[in-house]
Amino acid sequence: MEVLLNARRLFTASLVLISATFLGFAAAQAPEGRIVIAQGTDAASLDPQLQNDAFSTSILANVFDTLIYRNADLGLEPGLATSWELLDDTTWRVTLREGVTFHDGEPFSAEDVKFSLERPLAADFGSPLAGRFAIIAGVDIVDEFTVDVRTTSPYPLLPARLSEWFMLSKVYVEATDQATLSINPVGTGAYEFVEWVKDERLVLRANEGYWRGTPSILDVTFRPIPELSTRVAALQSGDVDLITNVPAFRQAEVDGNANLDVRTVPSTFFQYVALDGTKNPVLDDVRVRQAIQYATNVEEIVEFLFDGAAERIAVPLAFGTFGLDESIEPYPYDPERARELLAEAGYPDGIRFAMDAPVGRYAQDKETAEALVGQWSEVGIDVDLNINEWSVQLTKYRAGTELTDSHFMGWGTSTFDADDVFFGGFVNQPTKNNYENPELSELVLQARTSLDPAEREALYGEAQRILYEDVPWITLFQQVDIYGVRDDLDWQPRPDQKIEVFTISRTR
Amino acid sequence: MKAYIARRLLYAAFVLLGVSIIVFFLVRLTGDPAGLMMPLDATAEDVARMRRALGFDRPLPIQYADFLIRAVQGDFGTSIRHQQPAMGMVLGRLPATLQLMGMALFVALIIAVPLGILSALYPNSFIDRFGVVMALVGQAVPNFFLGIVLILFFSVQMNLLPSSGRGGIEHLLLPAVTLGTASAAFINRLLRSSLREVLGTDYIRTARAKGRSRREIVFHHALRNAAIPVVTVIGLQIVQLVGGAIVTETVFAYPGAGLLLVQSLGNRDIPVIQAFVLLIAVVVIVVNLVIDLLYGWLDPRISLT
Amino acid sequence: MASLRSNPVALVSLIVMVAILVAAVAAPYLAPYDPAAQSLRLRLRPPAWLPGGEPGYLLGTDALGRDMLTRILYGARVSILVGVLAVAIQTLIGVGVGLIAGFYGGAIDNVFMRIADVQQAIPFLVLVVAVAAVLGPSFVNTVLILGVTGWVTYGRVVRAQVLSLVQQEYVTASRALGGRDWRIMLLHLLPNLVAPITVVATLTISAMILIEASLSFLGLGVPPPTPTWGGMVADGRNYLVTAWWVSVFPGCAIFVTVLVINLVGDWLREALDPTLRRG
Repeated sequence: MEVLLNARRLFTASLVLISATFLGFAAAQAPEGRIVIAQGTDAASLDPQLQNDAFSTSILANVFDTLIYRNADLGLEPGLATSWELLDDTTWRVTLREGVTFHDGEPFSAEDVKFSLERPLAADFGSPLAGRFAIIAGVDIVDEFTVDVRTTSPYPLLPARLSEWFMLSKVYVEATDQATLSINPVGTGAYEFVEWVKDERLVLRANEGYWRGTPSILDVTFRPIPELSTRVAALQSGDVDLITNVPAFRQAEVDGNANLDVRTVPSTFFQYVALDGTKNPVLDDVRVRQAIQYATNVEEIVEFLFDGAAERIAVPLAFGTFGLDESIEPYPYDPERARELLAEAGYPDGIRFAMDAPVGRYAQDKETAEALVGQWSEVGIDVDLNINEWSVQLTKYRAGTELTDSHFMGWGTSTFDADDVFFGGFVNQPTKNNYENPELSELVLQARTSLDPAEREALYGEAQRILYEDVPWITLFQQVDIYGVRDDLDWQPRPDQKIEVFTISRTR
Repeated sequence: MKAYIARRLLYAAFVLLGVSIIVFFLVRLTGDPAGLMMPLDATAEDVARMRRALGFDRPLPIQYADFLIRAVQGDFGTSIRHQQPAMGMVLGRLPATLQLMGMALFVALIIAVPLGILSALYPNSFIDRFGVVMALVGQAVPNFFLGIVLILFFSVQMNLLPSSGRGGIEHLLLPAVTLGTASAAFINRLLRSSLREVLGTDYIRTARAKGRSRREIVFHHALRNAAIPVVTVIGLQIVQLVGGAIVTETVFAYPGAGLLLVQSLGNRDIPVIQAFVLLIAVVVIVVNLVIDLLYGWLDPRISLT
Repeated sequence: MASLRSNPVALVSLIVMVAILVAAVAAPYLAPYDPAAQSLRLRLRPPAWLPGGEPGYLLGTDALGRDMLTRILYGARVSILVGVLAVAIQTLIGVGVGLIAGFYGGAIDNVFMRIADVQQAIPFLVLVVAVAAVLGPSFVNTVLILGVTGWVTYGRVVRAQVLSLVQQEYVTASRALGGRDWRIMLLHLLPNLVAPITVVATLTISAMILIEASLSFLGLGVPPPTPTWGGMVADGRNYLVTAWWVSVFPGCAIFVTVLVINLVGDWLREALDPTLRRG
């Protein structure tokens, strides 16, 4: 264990060196220019612990830092923490970076870490992320720049969690009312908050004293443009410099524009259809579930509906996720085999079940659901499709009982660890699709508390084989995020949809 | 007159109470805002905890009483998503929407009224036919489609106007045309038919027989009578513009109240929805009162008692 | 009906309107394909006469490779039915309420108008979202919500007219002579209301078709796989630059339908209203 951590530290240390030299050129000159970024939705709240959406997080990642930094290659490297190590199974010692200050001039120290990690635990605080913080038993301050984070049980994911939790200023938060905190953030990040006119513009300005080095771009404006066509038009007409979620079918058009470029990255989001055997006994038969997977022509959907901008997955894990066994081949598209399996299961004339699917949530979600229904109908699987506005779909999902026989959803991981889907999707909330498999639960729970990466990998390998054979979820594909940018932007998108402006520079 | 207005204001209180009850319970039927803002892997206990923190675990009648008591004191609660005062958020959006609606209504009237009068005076003429075609285009093209076509042409192709957002008058033009076209069509057709009807009545023919000039007849007699249904509809149009504004604001990423409503509905941000609806209720009540007063002025035969 | 012969525009419109209705009713016999039949490989093909067009798909295909012509034919059924049924419900409620409120005035008028205020004050979208969430989106629910929320326009227009009519001599006279209320309303008031109601109704049928489109735009319309014109335009808007036919053809269908409904409506009004014929 110690050896592993040391190896990792060496690795991350060299990365820091590389990124420091990379950022070095930026630090040499004063930040200049302005960038306008258009996302589909505005931030909900600028209090990092009172929101849970990619759009807010994307903006907040510029204002706040995390203890551990998840780099674009998904590796963990030092952030506000310079190192971290296990003292015993449930205690992590984290050493903090010295000399970092918040935008209001207050120094960053162990007090702030303790405050940031314990704040969501208060019962009356109402953080949507409270469930994730609940693993923390407490934070002990060792000295001004050292803390011990205690977890309620051995928790291998703590470094991953520390890479998503933003560090707040204890002094500022305690002295400020909630309404102000939610619209006026103070962090240690590369950009300082300037102003926010909700749904119109959110303006940030470069933090010249940023500990990573001065960012290259001075002013940043985030603008929400919900309508797809308008967002693309805003890029084409020069109103904005960078847009998120370019639809796949407009990729070529944007790329064809002399001043524009398309940048893509496989995201951590994947789509699936969960089958519920307790609601419709037909789906309780593993042969039927396998038949549905065989009848699903994912390649066709990827190639034609997404113009190639999606990747077929074999198990409910996105590529790059810790624990994924890449040797597992997806089920081939085999309608004959699907018919045979249905006949074996006693349904030679086909089956019928209902499916809930959202509209307006994922790229071409409604179209994907309709395409699936069309493909399945070719082997005698008739689906009654309910297209739900997203909030209705999510409400049904939460209530569990309101969902019909199956539901189409997307799952995005924030820890880049198999635990996220396996624990959240199959163990911790069996009511969602009522799939309970004691063998699988055992594996996942064991992996959740094991601090040995090799053992965890093996456990998840077994879990994947169970999921592959048992097909509680029809696995589809992993999304590719498509960004449209002005071609003078030197920037590569990240798989987690955060737009870190300090990594952007202009080439002219 | 004063007594009439006083009585109407008393009724208004009842209307507001009715609206508040309906909306309060309706919105709560549609889903749980706590669950909607939590990650997919949140457990039932996590959601329950969040509901408790937000106060949604209390019995509904108690929640309503609490809401009502606070509302009367001017506290409409705090947005669940944004942690801002709900009514403040809605009011903050009004200037943008009123600007857009005012501009749209202006566009509508400037097109519809002259066209409607000319169409009525010269039925089946070129101008009348033009009015018909214009009205049809306005009526037959979905708002969002028109908006997107305008953006594609004026900002992407011609690069003349900004594609979206809020700023100067140039930001208002495309959305106002998008929003005002349907109203222009509606008002134009209604004015034409209503004016023609009035022009056919006995007293206008009498006036004409007495040798009054055409201009005098139209502007002094006919228009005033023809205005009754038109004023009714303009009032309704103002209310409907709120609906149209929702789509238009979404297309143009225009930060008005309509966009706020769509988002709040999507998030089931209950305090914001309630504040929004109650505010609309006040506007509707005032608009309707003004319309009724206008009736009395336009047609003295209608007694306001 | 003599006026129809002297009005070729109305005649042609009537013929087109009947043709659209026949096409809607006979869609299963006229349409070359099943409306749900899809082929992702043939996605977004242009109309047959354009380069890249697929013979057999006259108006091209949509995002899922479904035949546009077939979907427009089937869409006619749903879109027209949504419009007509919604307007029927609105007219029934609105005219009833407007007549009674305007005729009796006083407390009855007051109660009805306050109900109208409440109804009007709750934004349509809030009700739609509520219905979609509680009852689930469906054709019937869309019609109901459009019908039940739209009556206020009729109610107010009718009431305004009635308020003015009840003051006229012939109405006061028949009241003084002891005419029954319902007789006065049906025989004396209603005929005078036909013209404004027809205008509002024709315009609202098309408005309903468009509102359905707006609801589809917001993801709250008649749910798939049922094709509606509004839904097709809404879905197709994203492809406007790359595949215009997906939204433009259903848009044309809406346009032509609205056109003929209006022209027929105009003719109907003039034919029904004696004062206009003289003027």
